[in-house]
Amino acid sequence: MVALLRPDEGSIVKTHKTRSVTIKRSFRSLAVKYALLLLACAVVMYPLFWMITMAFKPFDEWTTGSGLTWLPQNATLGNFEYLFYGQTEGLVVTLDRTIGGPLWASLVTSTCGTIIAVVAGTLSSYAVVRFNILPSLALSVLQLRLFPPLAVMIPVMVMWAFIGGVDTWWGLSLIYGIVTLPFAFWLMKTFFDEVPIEIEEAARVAGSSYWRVFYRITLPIVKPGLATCVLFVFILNWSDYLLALLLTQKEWVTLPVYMNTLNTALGEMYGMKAALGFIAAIPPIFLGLLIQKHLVRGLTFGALKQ
Amino acid sequence: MSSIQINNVTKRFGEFTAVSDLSIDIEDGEFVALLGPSGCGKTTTMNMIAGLEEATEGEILFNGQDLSHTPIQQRNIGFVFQNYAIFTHMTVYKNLSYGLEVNNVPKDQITSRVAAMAKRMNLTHCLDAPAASLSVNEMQKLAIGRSAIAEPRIFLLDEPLSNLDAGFRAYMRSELKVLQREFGQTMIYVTHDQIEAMSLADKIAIIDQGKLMQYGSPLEVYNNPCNRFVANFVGSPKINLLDGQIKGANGSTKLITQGGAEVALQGKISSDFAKLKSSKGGSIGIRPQDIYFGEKRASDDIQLHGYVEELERVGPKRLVHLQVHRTQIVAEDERDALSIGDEVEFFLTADKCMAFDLDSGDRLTGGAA
Ligand SMILES: Nc1ncnc2c1ncn2[C@@H]1O[C@H](COP(=O)(O)OP(=O)(O)O)[C@@H](O)[C@H]1O
Ligand SMILES: [Mg+2]
Repeated sequence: MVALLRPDEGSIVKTHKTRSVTIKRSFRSLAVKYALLLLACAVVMYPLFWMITMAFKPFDEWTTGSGLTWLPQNATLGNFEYLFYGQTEGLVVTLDRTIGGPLWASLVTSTCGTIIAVVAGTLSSYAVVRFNILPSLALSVLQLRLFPPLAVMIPVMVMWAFIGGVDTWWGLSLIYGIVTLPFAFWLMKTFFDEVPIEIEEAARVAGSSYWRVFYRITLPIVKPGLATCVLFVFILNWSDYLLALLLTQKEWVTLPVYMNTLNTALGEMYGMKAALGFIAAIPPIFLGLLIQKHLVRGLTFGALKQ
Repeated sequence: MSSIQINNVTKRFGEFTAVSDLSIDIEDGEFVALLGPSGCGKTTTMNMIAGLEEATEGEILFNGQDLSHTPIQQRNIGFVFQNYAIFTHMTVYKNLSYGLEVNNVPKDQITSRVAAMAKRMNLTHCLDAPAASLSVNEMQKLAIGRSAIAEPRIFLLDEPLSNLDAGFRAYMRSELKVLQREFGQTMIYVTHDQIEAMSLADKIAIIDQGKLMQYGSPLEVYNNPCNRFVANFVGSPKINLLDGQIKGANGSTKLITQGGAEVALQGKISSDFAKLKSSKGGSIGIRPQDIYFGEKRASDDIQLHGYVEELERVGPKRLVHLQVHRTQIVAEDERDALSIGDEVEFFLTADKCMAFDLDSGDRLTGGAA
């Protein structure tokens, strides 16, 4: 009996040991994992934290004068006031150009550019996917992104000067639309590829024209894709610096370019720049929230039983 | 409603010929089944009838009229797709009303017609549900209802039952028959299931590798298949096909199977094989119910000797799997008196035997016996 029992006990102890070892090991690896995640989080979040706190710090807190602090000691809206009204208490230098113009310019050009890219990209990718019109377009549209933008900027500037598009809302919108078209095209293409042709054929047989099939059937089906596409392209346009820098001068300067002009005799206006960044972050976030319910991870065409 | 004439239609995809020189005449109000194995070009044929694909050669006439230049949306065709193609982003109601809305049917009519169709298809309880939430069976009914609601002049169904489980399939099969009688429409029904085709259709077009093998009523193709493929494809239990070399001259012809069985042929079947030209040999086709045991009933009946390998009960019938020199023959045994391992004499009814050319598969019919 004893002889029989012992190996049993032994094995129980053994299992117990190995189990506790694995628990310890997994705890350790979990700790490492979390440490790494926290680090990554900090790397990503710190600039945001910096921007938000800085935006609410008064002038003397973001100059080294009074020593740097994590949180604003005397939180103020002065930076925002300065951006919108050109002056604020305790700052002798006034701003001759307030944020209104550039904010409007950014909103207009990014929105129009997004509309151009998404409309053109959606229609052209649908034509390629469904009607096999200009199949080579799928690759050639990528050429717009194949070289560094700087390499083509001089010819583009000359062309835009020629058509009178420099420093106009439509000139900048147009180049935004063109530059982000490849993204819109390819994104929408992957979604259209997923739509089974029979669904469209069923609608055609039921009596719809091609156009009606497109906007009543296909477009609603790819709506999540469309929402993703709009958000993605808008963010690309919104954060552009180079194109706006080269194609605007005064009237239609956008936020990123405007930010760079926020230097005064007193040096870099970090507080104002942070406030500007804070404001600039709002539209994309707002847009994201607006279309959030359409942003679905995977499209479901569940009806199709192959 | 409409008659349809398919005249010498060929469809090629690049080098590949999906449908080859197909000709079928369909009368107004007829229920025709396109029957053939997967990949034989049935869907392609349907797409050409609907106008979703253009025929490479040939023409398709509706009431004698070529519609190839009429846009699809004006053809008034009902099409139930193989995968249903439900509009999953809409409600069931919207799916049903879609075809009516598109054709500018007045609102109050739409409401009543959708209600009627929903009732007809047992979908009333889920009219407001998103179509994506339906079960396969309900989707199937929705697909049929959606196509039928506009009262199309022809109704095309592409393997509508192949995704369903057996019970619901049998139910839908009878439903479809009732529907067709109610609507009185010309219906073309694609299936790879010969039982469906046999039980539903007025006429069956049997297609293999894009070619029309035979077109006729279910009884015609069953009783009088014009080639070996049709004989083999139609009928359940399957027809027996005895392949072998044909030896000897008129009068004392023999079929020698690969296994070495010698089958002496007399009378009509013997003279049928006189037409055989190919060197590959011939083939005798005989349906299980045309084989009998016991006493020889007619002098020309072919006598064979084998042993019982397997017994199988199909409903009230008993199927006997007989082994004759490594060739298997299935017979129906109405006497129900055999057991496995028995050695037994059996007879093939001579005037039910069909002769085929093994090379081309063509049916051979000679002169008088
Ligand atoms: N658009 C197409 N391009 C190339 N080949 C096709 C196309 N559509 C069908 N085929 C081919 O034609 C043949 C017949 O297809 P189909 O009509 O769908 O067969 P089924 O009888 O199973 O419905 C198949 O071999 C298929 O691969
Ligand atoms: Mg098919």
